[in-house]
Amino acid sequence: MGREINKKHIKIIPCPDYDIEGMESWLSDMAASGLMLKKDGFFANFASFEECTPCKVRYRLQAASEKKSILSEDNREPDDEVIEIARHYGWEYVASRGRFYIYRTNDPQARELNTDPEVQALVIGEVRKRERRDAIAGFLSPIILLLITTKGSLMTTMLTIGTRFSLFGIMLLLWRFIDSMMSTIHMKRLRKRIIIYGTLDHNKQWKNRTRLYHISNVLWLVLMISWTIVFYRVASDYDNGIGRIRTYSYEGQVPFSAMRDLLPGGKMVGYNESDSYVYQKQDWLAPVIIEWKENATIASSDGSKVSGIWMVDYYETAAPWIARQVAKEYFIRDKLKSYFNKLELQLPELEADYSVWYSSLFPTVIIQKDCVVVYARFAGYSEQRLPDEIWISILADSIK
Amino acid sequence: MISIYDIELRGGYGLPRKAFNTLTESMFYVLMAFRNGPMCGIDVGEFIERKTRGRVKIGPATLYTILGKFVKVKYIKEIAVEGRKRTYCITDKGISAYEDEVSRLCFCVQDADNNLQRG
Repeated sequence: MGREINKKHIKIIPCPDYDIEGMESWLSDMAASGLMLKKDGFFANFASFEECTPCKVRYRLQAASEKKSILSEDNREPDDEVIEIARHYGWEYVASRGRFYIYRTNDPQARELNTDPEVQALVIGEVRKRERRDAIAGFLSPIILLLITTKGSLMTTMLTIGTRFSLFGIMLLLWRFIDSMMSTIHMKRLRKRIIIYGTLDHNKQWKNRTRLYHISNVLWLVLMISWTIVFYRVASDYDNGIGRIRTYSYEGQVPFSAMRDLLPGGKMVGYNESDSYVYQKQDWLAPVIIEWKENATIASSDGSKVSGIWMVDYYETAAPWIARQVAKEYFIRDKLKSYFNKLELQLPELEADYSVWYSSLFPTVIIQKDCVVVYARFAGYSEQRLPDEIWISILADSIK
Repeated sequence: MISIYDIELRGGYGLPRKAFNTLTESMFYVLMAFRNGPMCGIDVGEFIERKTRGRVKIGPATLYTILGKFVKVKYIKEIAVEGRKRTYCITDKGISAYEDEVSRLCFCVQDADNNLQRG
C-alpha cells in the first residue's frame, strides 16, 4: 500500500472515535499527504503513522462486536473469519479504536465495506445502545458504590471530604456522562443519515471541530489530574492525622462538653496524649465541623475518677435539613452494624429536634437541634462507671 | 423488501422494532445462498454475485454482520471451523423465514403484474 519509507510520525487524533465520518476522512487525508496509519497504530489519543508515497486510500470504520463480559472492553480485534472475508474483498484490517474496527483499501475497484444501509444502520444502532447503556452504568456505578461503601451516608461523606471537592468529582462524572450521551446522539444522527442517504460522508471536513475537541480533552485531563491530586492529598492528610491538634495543647473552646465537663467539678488527671486530638474544619454546607477525641481520666470534686474515651463529632450546618440529614445518616450507619443494640435509658426530655441513643460498640447519642448536630460516644474503661443518662444529659445541655 | 418509505411510514427513521420482520435484499440473498447447502462467508458472497449476475455485490462488513445476526436469531448455525473459515448451514427457522419472504415477494410481483394488466 505505497509504504516505502518507514519514518514514524505521531499525531494527535482530531476527532472522537464515534465520529465515523471524521475519522475516515482524516485517515484518508493523512494517506493522501503521505502518512499511512501503522498496524494497531492507536494509543490513548494518539495515532502512529509511517511515511509512504502519497496515495488515495479509503478508510472505513466498522462497529466492533459486543464485548464478551461486562468487565471486558469491546473485542480488541475482529474475528479471524471477518478479517479473512474483508481481505478477500480487498480490505485490510488495520486497528481498533474505541468501539470501532478500522479497515482500509487502496484498490479503487474494491467494493464498499458496507453495501446495505439498513444493515449498517442496525449495527450503528447497536453500538449506540451499548454506548448509552455503558454511559448510564458508568454514571450510576460510582454513585451506587459510594452508597454501598458509605452505607448511604452521602451527606456525611461529602462533608468529610469537602463539598467543593465532592462537587468537583460529581462535575467530572457528569462531564463523562454528557460526553457519552453526546456520542449516542451523534450515532443516532449517523444512523438517520445512513437510512436517508444510504451512505455516510466519507469526505467530511474533519478540521471544523478539531480545536474544540482538543481543548475539551486537555481540559478534561487537567481537571482529572487535579482531582486525583487533591483526592490523594485529602486522603493522605486525613490518614496521617494532618490538621489534628493534641487535645491537651488545644486552647480553644469547643461548643459542647469536653470530657472534664462530664463530672461535677471535673478536672483532667491523666491523658493518653497520642489518642487525644481535635480536628476542625470548615465547609460550604457546614461552617463548623469538629472531630473531638479524648482518651483520659477525669476526677470529680469528691475525688472519684472515671477513665474512658470521649468521642464527639460536631457539626454546625448551613441549614437545619442538612443537620437532620447528617444525624439520620449517622444513625442508619450504626443501625446496620451487627453490634447495634437499643439502650433502655430513663432520660429527661432533651430539648432537641431529633435525638436518639443506642449502643453501637459503645453507648452512643445523636442530638440535632436547628443547625447543630452532635454524634457522641463514651467508652468508659474504669471500675467507676459514668452512667449514660448523666453524660447524655450534660452533653444535651451543653449544646442548647 | 423494506424501503426507506416503509421505514418513514412507520413513524420515524428507525428500523422495525422486531429485527428481520422483513428481510433486506442482502439478507434475502444470504438466506437464498444457504438454501443451496452449507457455505462459508466468502462462498455466500460469490454465490450472490453469480446469482444476481453482478447486480448485488455484498460488502464484507454487510456480509459478516448478516452472518452474525443470523446466527444470533438462529436462521443459520455454524457447523465447521477450518482455520479462518467457518461453515454455516441454514436452520428450519431460517428456511421458514426465507420461504415467508419468497411468498411475500411473489404476492408483490403478482400485484404488480395485475396492476400492469389493468393499466
